[in-house]
Amino acid sequence: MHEKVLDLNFAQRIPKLEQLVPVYAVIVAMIYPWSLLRFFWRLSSWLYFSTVGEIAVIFTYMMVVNLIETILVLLAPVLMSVLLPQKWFYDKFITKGSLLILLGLGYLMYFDNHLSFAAPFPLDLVYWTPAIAAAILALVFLLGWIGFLGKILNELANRLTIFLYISIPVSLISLLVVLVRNIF
Amino acid sequence: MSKISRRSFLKLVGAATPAILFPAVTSWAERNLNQGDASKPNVIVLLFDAMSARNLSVYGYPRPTSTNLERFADHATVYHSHYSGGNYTIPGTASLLTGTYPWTSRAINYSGGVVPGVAENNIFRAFGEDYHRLAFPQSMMANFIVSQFKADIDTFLPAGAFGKLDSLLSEYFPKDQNLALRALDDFMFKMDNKPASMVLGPVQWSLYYRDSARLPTEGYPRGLPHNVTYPLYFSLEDLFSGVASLIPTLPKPFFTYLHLYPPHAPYRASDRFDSKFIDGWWPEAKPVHRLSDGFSESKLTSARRSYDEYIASLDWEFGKLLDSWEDAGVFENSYVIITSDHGEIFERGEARHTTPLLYDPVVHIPLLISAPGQKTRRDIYAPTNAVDILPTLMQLTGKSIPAESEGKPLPGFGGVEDFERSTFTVEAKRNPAFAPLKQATVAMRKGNQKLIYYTGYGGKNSFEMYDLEKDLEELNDLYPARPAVAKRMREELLETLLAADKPYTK
Repeated sequence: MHEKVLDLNFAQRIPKLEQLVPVYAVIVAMIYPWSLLRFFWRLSSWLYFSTVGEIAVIFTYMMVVNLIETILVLLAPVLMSVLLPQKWFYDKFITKGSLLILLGLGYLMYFDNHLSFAAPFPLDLVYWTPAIAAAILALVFLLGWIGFLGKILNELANRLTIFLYISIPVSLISLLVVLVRNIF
Repeated sequence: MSKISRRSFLKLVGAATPAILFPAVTSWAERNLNQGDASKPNVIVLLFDAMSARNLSVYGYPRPTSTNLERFADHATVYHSHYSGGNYTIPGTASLLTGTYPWTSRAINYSGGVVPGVAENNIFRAFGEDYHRLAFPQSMMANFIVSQFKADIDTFLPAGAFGKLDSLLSEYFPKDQNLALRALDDFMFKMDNKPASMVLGPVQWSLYYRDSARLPTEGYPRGLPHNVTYPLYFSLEDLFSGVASLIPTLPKPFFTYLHLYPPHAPYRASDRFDSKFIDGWWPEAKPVHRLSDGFSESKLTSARRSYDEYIASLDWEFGKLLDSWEDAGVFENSYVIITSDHGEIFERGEARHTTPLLYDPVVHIPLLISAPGQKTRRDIYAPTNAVDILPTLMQLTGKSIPAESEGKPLPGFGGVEDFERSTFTVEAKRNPAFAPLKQATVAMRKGNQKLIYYTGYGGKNSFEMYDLEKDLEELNDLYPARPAVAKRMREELLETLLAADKPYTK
């Protein structure tokens, strides 16, 4: 059995749906609230001059952007799973994928917090990005072997899947609204 | 706060759904083939964002900022007491394009818009389909207003047209541009602070940084002109030559609304005019206003100088545009209207136009109109307002003036000089659009008198009154000294405000 698993080819190293869903849930749990927080922060201003319908449309655009972002981000662990040897990533896809997402998006949050039109572009952070990416990858592989951490991450990722029951249908409806508005 | 019942909520959702889904359906139904009559006059509105009449030599400013505007004025009607509807782009633009004051259009907030009932009477629809209607809102704030009227516009040029760099996303959503603009460029990808889009936001920001760093800046010692908080770079040369060559190609008759971003901040004078006005001239010092940001006199003087140099730079390019249009015979069959949406202030501790103040520098705007074939200059001194543009153009092109318009045809173009007429300028950016104006400044111009009313800024409501014939710099507050005139004007202003607020008063 062990030998057989080691023989998995590229296509077979694409994670299965039950592996993908928890990792996707972690991505959703980080990306959607980031935008939602800003949406509610702006809401009081929009209520000054926008109708409920207009605010609803802004919300749909936001959901579509978030949907695209989450799918793009999911490609990162999937790509790693496909490209790296099976033992390195595929076998612990949920643990390492979740860790990669938490650390990667965490760094992106830090980066985003430094973006301001009033301040110079944070070039130093851009220069540091390759080193930080390498550090994140190293951490993923090191921490991914710690048993209890893996257990916690698996539990967390599985529990976060509850949010997909809201985010996916709302995003798909939003996508439909945006498409209809821009086709007709 | 009133509660909404489940039944009402369902009704609201039902009513809102078609509007959310099908924004362009109404325009489909209304759109027919253009059948133009080339003998009708063309109309070109050329608007310079944030251009104060007080800083133009054509209006007597001591620095030679607008020599080419002076040349244009030689064959135009020059309005000496023309006022904007508000003190920044949203209300200023909305007033011009709807013929209504901001308290009627409710276009009073940043990124705000015009209420649907007023939007239906926009200038593009009023021109009708026998005119080719083109809009070029280079200012993003103007885009918020103009894109509301997109169904009535035949050619909508994106803000980045004639530009060097344009990273706006809403331009990829032409059928839903107004809300795509609000959702994407003004929210998810707004480049003023940490983006609401966690992943794609920094990607867009990084690409923009990379591309803008590669832009050539020759001829602009302080860098290329650009939009203040949106990803748009341009040069004055490209902008004006683009506009110049655009007009002769349009199907006739046409109506164009060209809302150019300069001389809006940041002030980026070309090398020909950069540092040109280090001339030792200082404007009259004025007391710091309690509602100002408290800028020092030296900062204000420096900002004013940069602003003047930027105006001179754009005036230089405007001169080339004039030559080009003269060669192309544009003036023979076109009304050409030069104006602005609001002014700019550098006094009393206040800079630019993000201010509750309504002194003349921030609301007294240029208005020069050249009629087809006009060879001589004419001067009009009676107070006029941006709301007068729409009814004037309707009258000139033989169309009916929308009943909702609050303006009057301009003197010299069907109207009469009326010194007793009252015109208004409204500033209420912090007030909810759909509520009575509780925090606002309103200026009323009547004859030579100007009354300014401040409400909702803490402390008691207050008034100031100036005689602009004798006190152009608004230094001598006559409100306490002339109680009879003050009372009459105060009552009129408050009654008008009350009537404007009525639809929003419970």
